[in-house]
Amino acid sequence: MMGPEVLGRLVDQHAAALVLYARQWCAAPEDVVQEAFLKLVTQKTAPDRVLPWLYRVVRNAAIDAARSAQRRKRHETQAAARTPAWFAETESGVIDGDSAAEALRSLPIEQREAIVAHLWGGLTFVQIGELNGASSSTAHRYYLAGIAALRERLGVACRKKPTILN
Amino acid sequence: MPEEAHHPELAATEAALASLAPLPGQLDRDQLMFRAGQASATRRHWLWPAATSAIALLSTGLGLALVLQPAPQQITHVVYVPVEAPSSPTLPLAYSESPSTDATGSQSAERPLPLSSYQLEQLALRFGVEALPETQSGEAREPLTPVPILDRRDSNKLLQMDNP
Repeated sequence: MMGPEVLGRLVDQHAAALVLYARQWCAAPEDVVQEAFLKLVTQKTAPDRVLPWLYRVVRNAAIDAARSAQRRKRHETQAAARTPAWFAETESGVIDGDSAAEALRSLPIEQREAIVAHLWGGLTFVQIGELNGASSSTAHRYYLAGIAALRERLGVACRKKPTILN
Repeated sequence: MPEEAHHPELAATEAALASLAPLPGQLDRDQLMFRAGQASATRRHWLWPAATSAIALLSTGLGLALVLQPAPQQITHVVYVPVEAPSSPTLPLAYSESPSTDATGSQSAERPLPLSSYQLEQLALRFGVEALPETQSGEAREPLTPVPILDRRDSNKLLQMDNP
């Protein structure tokens, strides 16, 4: 049985990334993430690896929610009408959150999933491969292809290695 | 899989994306914690409602079985018990003999024989004091008459009168 302290820490650390991950499929990711945490609480024995377990539950629930939303056209149009922000405003100004979200939306779902799960979720490529039923090499390949596509869209400059002058 | 062996030209894009913090959206942390507490409490206390439901179901079944059962058949058993004849002839004879009545219903003047002290003792020991016959009470007893005290001369006169 999971205690409230552990659950609160999990929510604080991973809820936002899980919401972003579920947002790749469905329009109501908060409900999916909340149900995933509730499912975690009601587990008789806590899973060995909580984070991959959470991502798996969120992924399955988000895909189910997306299928249900497709059946309900009205709900789908309402969800499509509102486009909530994916990222918080940053002061660094390196990259714009809305532009990044727009660029992410344009990617195939496999690349989006790999980028979100690895970059913000902290999952390894082995764990990402277990999530979508692919190998870790395939997950890594999706990730690299997605990052390359985002680089082209966002135009982020490459870091130049410092040159040593003799 | 070497996870950090990324292409160097993609590292800047990767770092720029990583600097973005995802928004939790409309996820309410307090509501989530409250519902988690509810879910854990609900899961823990399933035993008593289940036991209560089982007992209620059992009681209903027993009540229905009691109401709907057929009426029991009334069975009459006739048991013949042999009765022994009275073994001691003395006590019932003396005690059970009632005064004989003639055809007109009047009680005859013949009285039952008085019981001896041994018979009275056996009767009282066997059946109790209440079983003693009424005829021994004071109403049937003849009144006592005082006997005159005689001296020697009077007694000699009486003896001479009896022997002329």
